[in-house]
Amino acid sequence: MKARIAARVSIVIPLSIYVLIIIAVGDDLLLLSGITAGREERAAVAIRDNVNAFYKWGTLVFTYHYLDRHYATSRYFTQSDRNDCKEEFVAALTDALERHACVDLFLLAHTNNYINWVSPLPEPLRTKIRFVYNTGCHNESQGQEWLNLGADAYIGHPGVSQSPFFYFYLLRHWVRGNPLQSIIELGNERMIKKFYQLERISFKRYDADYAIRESIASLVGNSNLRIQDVTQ
Amino acid sequence: MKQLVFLLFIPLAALTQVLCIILMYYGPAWVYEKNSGLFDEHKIWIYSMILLLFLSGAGVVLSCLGCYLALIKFKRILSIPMVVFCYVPIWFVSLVCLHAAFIFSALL
Repeated sequence: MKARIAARVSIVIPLSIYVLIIIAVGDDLLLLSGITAGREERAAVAIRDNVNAFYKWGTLVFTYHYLDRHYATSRYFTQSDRNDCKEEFVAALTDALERHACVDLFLLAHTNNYINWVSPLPEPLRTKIRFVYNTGCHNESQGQEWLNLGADAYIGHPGVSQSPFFYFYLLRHWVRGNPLQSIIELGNERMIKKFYQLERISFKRYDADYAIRESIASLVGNSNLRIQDVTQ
Repeated sequence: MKQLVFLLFIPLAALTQVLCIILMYYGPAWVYEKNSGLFDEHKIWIYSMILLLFLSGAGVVLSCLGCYLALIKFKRILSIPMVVFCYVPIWFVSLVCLHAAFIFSALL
């Protein structure tokens, strides 16, 4: 084969594969998108529960940089057992609430009750909690409790959820400055698409309808909230 | 004999991807077991990104070079199966890892 054709083939094939991978991931490309306004006003605290090391690592490498880049202060905790990091988490949250106008919480854990860690905090601080995202199974019902505690918006999942699919879209579009209502619609729509793709790939051994019922995310509170909004 | 040197690109490119997968799966177990309690998340993230970018980038470059050399040095009856059965899977794995690194770095 001629060198020029060989060179073209050696570039075109991997490029085509890369385009297919981007299509398969199914999300818009951010392409070096900037940081939304008001970064210095906001902080984020995230916590991952005690799962296997690969999942801990995966959650960390995906979450860490988005929070670090888009929040003035961000703290990320990985638990080694159920009550691990409690003091550190509460101390970091208190510090963030004292120093920033609003704080977002990312509870990246199976069915959880971190709300019990946060509820003893003084009310003037708690009202600075802005957005709470909870990946926990059956934790959708905590929404109203978080709002009563002072949060402005809460997203949770109703059953034995496969929330990582949703979380992937949520975090990427939240830091872009999209309002929660559009994120929840987009996240659910793309997550459902992935479930049906899995069903097809697994020759129907994967039950997409069950996964949708258990995982579809719902929002309570301020649906127009965006990362750049400062709430009190 | 000299032509066989070009075949080395296949195991070399494959090795980068095998190493990448092994490190992604077993590396975290080593880190989290060795350091129970609080972790330096920043360090874990930085080292993970360096490894992911380096190994996936090396996989892409080596497989592109290997594919190019296979196409110009060998007859089509040999080079086309080499590309399809060896380089395409290596490209796939290394590009998935590379895309993951871009997403984790918020570049894409």
